[in-house]
Amino acid sequence: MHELHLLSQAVLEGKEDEARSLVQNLLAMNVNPSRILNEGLIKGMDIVGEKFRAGEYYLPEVLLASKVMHSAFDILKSRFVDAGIRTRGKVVMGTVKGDLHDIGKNIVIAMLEGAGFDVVDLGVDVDSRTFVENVQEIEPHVLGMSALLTTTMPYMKEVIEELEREGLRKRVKVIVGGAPVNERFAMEIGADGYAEDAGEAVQLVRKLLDVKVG
Amino acid sequence: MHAGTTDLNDFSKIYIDAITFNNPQWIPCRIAFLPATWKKYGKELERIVMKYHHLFPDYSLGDYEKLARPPHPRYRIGRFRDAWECIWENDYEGLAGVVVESPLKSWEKFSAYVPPNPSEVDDYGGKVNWEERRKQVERIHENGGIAFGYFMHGSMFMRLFYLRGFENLMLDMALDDPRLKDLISMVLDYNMKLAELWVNTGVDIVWFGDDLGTQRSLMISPDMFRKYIKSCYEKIFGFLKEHGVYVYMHSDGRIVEIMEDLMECGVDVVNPQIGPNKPQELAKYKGKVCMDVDLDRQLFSLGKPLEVEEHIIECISALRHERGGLMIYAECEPETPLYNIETICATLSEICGPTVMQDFVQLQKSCGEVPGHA
Repeated sequence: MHELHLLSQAVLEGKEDEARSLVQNLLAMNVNPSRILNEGLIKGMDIVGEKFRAGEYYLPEVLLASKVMHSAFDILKSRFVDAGIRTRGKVVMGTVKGDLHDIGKNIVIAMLEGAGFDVVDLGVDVDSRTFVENVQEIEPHVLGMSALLTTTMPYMKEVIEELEREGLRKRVKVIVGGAPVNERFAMEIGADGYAEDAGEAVQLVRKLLDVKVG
Repeated sequence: MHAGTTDLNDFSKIYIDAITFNNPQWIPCRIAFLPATWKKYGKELERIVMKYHHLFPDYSLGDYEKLARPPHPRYRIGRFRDAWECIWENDYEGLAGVVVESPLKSWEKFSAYVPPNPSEVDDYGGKVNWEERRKQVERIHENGGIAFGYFMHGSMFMRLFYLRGFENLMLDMALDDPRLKDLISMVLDYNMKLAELWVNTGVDIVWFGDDLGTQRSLMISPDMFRKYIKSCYEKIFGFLKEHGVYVYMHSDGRIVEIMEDLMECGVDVVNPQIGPNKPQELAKYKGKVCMDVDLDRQLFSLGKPLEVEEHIIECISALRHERGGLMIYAECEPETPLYNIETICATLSEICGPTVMQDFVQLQKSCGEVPGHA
């Protein structure tokens, strides 16, 4: 459908007014909101993710596309609540205790939301208790932890141990990221995956949850 | 200033020789420990430092106690407001904090906003005595040293997002917000005044730090860097160069795509991080610009001693040039195990020699800033 293609292009090119107007037109044409989301908004963000991974897009373009996506999605939101439509999966994210850096985490959240995941942001300086309580309460499919400091990344292991003690570990996939973290560290602490950047994080979550693109 | 003249002490001469590709006697290396690292290891770290004392000629027994004390609020637990009205927060003693509140998050406040005056206060709001700085530079010169001026880490690009908030700045750039031009002019104007103040002290080199990259790429595209930031660097560095001052440029993250741009801006020493930038990629620039290579801190924390040793040798092999142009920087954060610190010292003491950064640190300490950051 041509309008859906135009919508994905509007997201890709960061055209907010155009995206909102297209969503309204599509709704007026009685197009299913789920289709507008998947074939228009998320499709656009998928291409943004591809361009980011390929080095064609940088953070300004990614964040602008995310802003456009959210703005256009706001129009759709009520239809989703009414129809009880589910997202691609729930993710809980936070920067670990002792660490106040949130730029990387926020970009990952923007990309995950753009890819259709429902993300709960626990913020920065999050202790293991808070992670565990949110896993119990929200029952996310994925728990994401971020750290920018070599001093705080060992705390990720404490969170995983706390999840194990509470019998929650097998109920949630754990992913980690941040400048000092690498694949080796992720495996050593028993995480399910590591992502080097926001684009990779989206791919990783999709892979872990076996979500098909498109 | 006197860099390049014949009355330099040995370390200073070697440093300048490295910058100017004038066959330095050895590769200058600097092994730096953050206050948090000193705090964590104390005497155990001192034992290693004393064992390789030729790499730490200014270190005296017992210094670890004062080195563990963060010299500035940015490195202390708690909140503080800098001279630009940015609120910093830190909850790890000895590492740098982060900006948590940006004064220009809303553009509405911009018209009434007044930036600090660098002739009166530093970025942190501390009183600055430029006449005292000039005398310190004179004293360094009298001892045959070279004197470093410095800009606060994050003086141009980062200051923009400290003021606006990171996501706001990214959107400003993506949307080419017309107000951004005025914001950049304001920060540039501050930096030009600061450059002039440093020139007037007679410093030989100015240290400039601005993180431009992430682990994998630049934060903004090379084109956007050229549009918004490069012209600022050209003006600041151009002014310094006109007055015979060398320019040292630090950036965290991947910057290899803009190495040529930095050289065009007049940078004499680039301080790229290994990890985001591969030694083989940087090798393209050896012989063209001096590189003070920031060894892989991630490996220092997570790697085995043999891997650390191989990494150092690999970097130096890939980047050394017969006429100079290479320096080595090894920053040890608190999670670097002592056995890796010992390996770093042992390996570098065989291949490299000490450097002059002590003068830089001296001047910085007296003025309340610390090079390097977490």
